[in-house]
Amino acid sequence: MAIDKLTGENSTLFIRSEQLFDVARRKSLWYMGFGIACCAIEGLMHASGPRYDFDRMGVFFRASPRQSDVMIVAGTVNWKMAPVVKRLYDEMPEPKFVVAMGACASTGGPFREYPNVVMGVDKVVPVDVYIPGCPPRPEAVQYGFIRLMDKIKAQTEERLAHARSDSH
Amino acid sequence: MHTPDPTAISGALDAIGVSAGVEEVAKLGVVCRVAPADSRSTLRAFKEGDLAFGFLVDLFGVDTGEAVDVVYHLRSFSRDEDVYVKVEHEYGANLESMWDIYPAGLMPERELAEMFGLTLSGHPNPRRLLTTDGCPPFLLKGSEIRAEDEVRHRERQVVAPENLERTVSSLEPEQSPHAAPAKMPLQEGIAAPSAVQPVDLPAGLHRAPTGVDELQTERLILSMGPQHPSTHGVLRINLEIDGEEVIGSECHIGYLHRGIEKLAETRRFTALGPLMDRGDYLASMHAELATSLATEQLLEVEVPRRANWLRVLMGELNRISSHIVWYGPNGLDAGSMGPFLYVFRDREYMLDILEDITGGRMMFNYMRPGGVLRDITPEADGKIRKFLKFFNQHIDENDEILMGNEIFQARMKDLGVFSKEGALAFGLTGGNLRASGFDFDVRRDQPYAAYPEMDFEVPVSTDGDAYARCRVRLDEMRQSARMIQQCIDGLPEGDFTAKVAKVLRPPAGETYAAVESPRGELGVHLVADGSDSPYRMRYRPPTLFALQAGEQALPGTLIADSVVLMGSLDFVLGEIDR
Repeated sequence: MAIDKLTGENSTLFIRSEQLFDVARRKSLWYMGFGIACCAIEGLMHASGPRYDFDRMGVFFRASPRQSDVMIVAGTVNWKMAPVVKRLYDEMPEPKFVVAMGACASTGGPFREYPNVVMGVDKVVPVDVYIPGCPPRPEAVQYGFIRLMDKIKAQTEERLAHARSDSH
Repeated sequence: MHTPDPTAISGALDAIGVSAGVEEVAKLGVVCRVAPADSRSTLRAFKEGDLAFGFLVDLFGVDTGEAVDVVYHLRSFSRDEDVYVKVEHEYGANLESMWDIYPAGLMPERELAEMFGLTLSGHPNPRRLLTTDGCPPFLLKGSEIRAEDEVRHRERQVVAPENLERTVSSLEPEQSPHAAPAKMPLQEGIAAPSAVQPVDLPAGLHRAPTGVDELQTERLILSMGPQHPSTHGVLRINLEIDGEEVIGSECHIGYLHRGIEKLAETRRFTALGPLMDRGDYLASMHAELATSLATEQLLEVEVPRRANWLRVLMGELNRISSHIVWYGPNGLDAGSMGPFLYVFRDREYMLDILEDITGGRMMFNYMRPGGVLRDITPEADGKIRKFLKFFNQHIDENDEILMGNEIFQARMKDLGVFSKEGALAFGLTGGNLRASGFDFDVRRDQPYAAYPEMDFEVPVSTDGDAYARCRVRLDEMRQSARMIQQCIDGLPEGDFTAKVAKVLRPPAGETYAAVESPRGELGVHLVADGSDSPYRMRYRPPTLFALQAGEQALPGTLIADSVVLMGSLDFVLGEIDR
């Protein structure tokens, strides 16, 4: 295998640190086990269940915000919940990403007319990926994570291109 | 259900000198109207004495346009009678707490006072329950929801962090807004943890020098949640702990309050289903069914026999899928990861069946007023038969894996014991009540849909502990599988829905419909005023009552056990907060 060729006795691998970190970031997106409402059953429980098995993508749940890279906002955020979401986001280490799962987290969903409901979690924390649906299927969440990986890769390439143009 | 004798009630109230207007209201039952000053003596007469309405089913308010009607829904299980006590309060008036008569009203009273702008006196913990300070009393008719324009053109600007902080203050009249939380008086009888006894040390070991000898522990408040993997949603429990032992607890809810009851007033009767789905999101079918039943009672629609059988079939399928979400995570709480994976394999298959029939994995909107959305397909029929074949095997397997596990038994037995009287006082229903030895099941005792034609047993246990609750639920899954088999084999021919209009305009009136959801008696109290949307819809959340009972049972347990105890009550925060 390719990795065997790289790990010979005298082999040396030249890689930009950006690229190395990029691989690590993309392949181990650990999400915070933080379910708010209905979406948590689909996006967190069934996702880690036997059929969808997000573990194989390196997507795994952690109970603490300090160990997680991604926050899946799975449910309706109201004004009582909003400070908690903000605080949890602040407690996560950089680099961190937010996935707004479902209609409620994206815009307020079916409850957006109620004044106690925040019309989209992007009013409280910055969101990277929005997943439509009420609730979205686990496949949709999977696709959302693939798009998030693409986004991380694109950001890395952008930074690399910028660094290369600076050096010349 | 029987109707109580109005003359007996007015006679009993006359005897204590209360002048009450007792009348029989069509589609609802007997309503007893008293003045606020007489409410305490009236409720005491209903609880004690010959009337013996010992169970508070629900407590809610209705804004009549002139005043706030506070409705106490009482039940006598022995005579199978329901009565509604209505007390008219002026806007902004003071609501006197009746928790010493009906402890089940502890949390509903707080909710009622904040949602209708009343003050609350005599309550052990008179703080806001669901919303934060600055929120208007949402359920008053004068309280507006967001305009369509605001909803359609959503601003995307970020709210400044300093504008996010919210406080929760007391509802008590004339009190400073940040009063210290009152200690729950019901918890005062809990004994302090016994002092540490010095033991004889083996040779070679020396005790620490004097001064450290007597272990001094400090009481501290541990805030668990709203982000905690074991609180089953966004529940926050403030645990007062002494070392590892819980000595006091207070549940904070409202982190998922999204106004289902208020928004229902703006939806048409046919569009209530999607809203109710998202209340108890694990058992959507049951909430839809309760709403449909209430609407049908108002409209006086006859549901075809096949539709009733389909309702039972889908309700029981949903019951199994809901109990699976209790079974797996309750195992996780006790430290057992394996059963979660096994049962979720079954749940995936079950969701496939539900999706085949209804089109959705979680939010079905399948039960409609008059019948069901669509008929069952031959493919789904085959899938259900296949499912039953392996599920009956798997349930025995699951029984052994988790329930037969010695560690699990040691954790669950004698934990959170509710006596029969205690469970009834706090308004527990469903599996939680049956585990305490009280044999009541809405499906059998107040039958709806096609349950009178079904052959099933109601599992009951007398232990009242967490293990008994697990046992009752697991046996319920077996009975559900039995009923699904009966439905599949004996599904009658006919229409799957009655002919109902596209826009429903029930005549003005009031009604209550209850179903046995996986979590207990899920009731819907509908008030119609002749228009196409309800005037008031009250959703009786069975797990709100389970939560307040759990709150009382927490002191005396260890921190690790508190998680298991709350998990065994099987609550869903979407339903508690609505």
